[in-house]
Amino acid sequence: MTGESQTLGLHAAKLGKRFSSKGGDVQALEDVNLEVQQGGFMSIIGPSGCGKSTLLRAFSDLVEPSIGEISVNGKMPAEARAAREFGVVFQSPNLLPWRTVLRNVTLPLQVMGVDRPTRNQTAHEMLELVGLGSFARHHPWQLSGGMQQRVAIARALSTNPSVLLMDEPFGALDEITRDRLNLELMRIWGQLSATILFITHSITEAVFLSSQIAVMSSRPGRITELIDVNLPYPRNAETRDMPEFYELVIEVRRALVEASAIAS
Amino acid sequence: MTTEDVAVIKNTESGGRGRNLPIGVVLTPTIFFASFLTIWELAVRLGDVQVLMLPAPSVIWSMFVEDFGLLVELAINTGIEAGKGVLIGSLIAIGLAGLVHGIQWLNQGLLSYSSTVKALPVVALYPVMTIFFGVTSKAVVAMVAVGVAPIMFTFASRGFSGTSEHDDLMRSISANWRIRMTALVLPRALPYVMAGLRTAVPLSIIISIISEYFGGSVSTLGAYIRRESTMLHTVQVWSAIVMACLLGVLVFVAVSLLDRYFLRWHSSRREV
Repeated sequence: MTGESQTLGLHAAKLGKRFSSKGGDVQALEDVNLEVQQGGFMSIIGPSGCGKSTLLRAFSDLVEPSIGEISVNGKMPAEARAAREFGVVFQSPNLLPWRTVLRNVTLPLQVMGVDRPTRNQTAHEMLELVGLGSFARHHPWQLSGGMQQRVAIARALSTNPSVLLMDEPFGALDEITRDRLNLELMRIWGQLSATILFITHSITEAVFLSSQIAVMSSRPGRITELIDVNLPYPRNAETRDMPEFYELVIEVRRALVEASAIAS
Repeated sequence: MTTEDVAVIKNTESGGRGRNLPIGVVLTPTIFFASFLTIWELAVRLGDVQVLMLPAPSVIWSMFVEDFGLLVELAINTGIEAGKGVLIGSLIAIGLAGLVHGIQWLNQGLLSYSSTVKALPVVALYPVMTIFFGVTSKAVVAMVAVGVAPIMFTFASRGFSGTSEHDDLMRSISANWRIRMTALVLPRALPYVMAGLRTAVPLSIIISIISEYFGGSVSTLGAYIRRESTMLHTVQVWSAIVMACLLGVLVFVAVSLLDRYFLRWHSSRREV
């Protein structure tokens, strides 16, 4: 590890991933270089199947890269996982349906061997943070999709990770719910100052949330453009009305079109 | 929390299952059953059928009421044998399925073994069991366990082989084997185990009664039916058959209730 990468929340250099199958090999990622400062908010946007989820899964140690360097807080993903450096929020809420909301949030703490009173208290705090304090005893199926995803965020935050890896967490939600959760995510991020890697296919979502946006093209999946989002924090509902917001949306859309042109 | 959140909570208190049961679901079988009994009763009386051949439902019913205490005792003993057998057979099967899950060749081998045992008429094993356990209640329990285990193994094995996004979750939080089993693998297999029990439990009653018929403890439904039939006590035999029927229905309802309770989180068990 270089000295520089130790200050980075997330770091990837010349990262590649090739999936082999009977139908032939697929180059999911090629020469991906990425740097996210600690406390930064990076969104990755790209067409479906461009490998953005694979990139996130490489950071979360769910996928082994074929080549290249990758680190989380200066550690290898496997080490970072063991040290609970990151929390993952999946595309689906991924809650255990047989556990109550509270016991879903306490699960990572249970794994860590935290005693019951402490983990219940932490889980209650996390549920308060995501605005679901009074739903601890409900089961996941009693909640709406948006609420379930907030429980998933509370669960990812329960171990107090410094990095949050979010894989299209609001992709399945309607736009109104998504906008509200984006606001909540900004509020939570403001309170925790975690490093966030956020996968999305929504341009407005990426612009609204991020300090930087990486645009990806598909086949092979690579980062074609990095766009800085110089909108002031804290962001709120008014941010979406700023002319700069629209300019950025247009810029990201242009970059996405160019990325697709490369692919085809 | 906002008021919208409260509003989107899917309401499960109102409505509730079973309350809006279509009237036909209850009425049709009731009418059918009543007509069946009426025809039976009339046929026996008008046709002057001997009571030794086929007693009328009313005669069976009065015998059933008269011997009710005895029949309940017999049913309890049969039920206990069946229950022990289900418990032992299921524990062995589920434990085995849990141990070999992930070991492909062993799992496949045990599955084909299960299929073979399932194809075997279990009653044929009774003489073997009596060699092991003597003509005792234990032999009956062993018979039930042997009959139940392959069914439970097949279902449990299917339950354990499932994968879902939860596996990624477990890995991402570095869950150890014990937590992975208790928090994910076992609950995920539970719907399959319950499905297995829905088949295995009614079957366990059948196996117990048949085994008892060949010998075993005296105070059971099967032994009673055999004894009374050799003495040509046809009415007593029929009243025991009614009790056996009730026992079968009872255990089926019991399993269904357990299923609903344990799988209340499962999407197929709700009307949302």
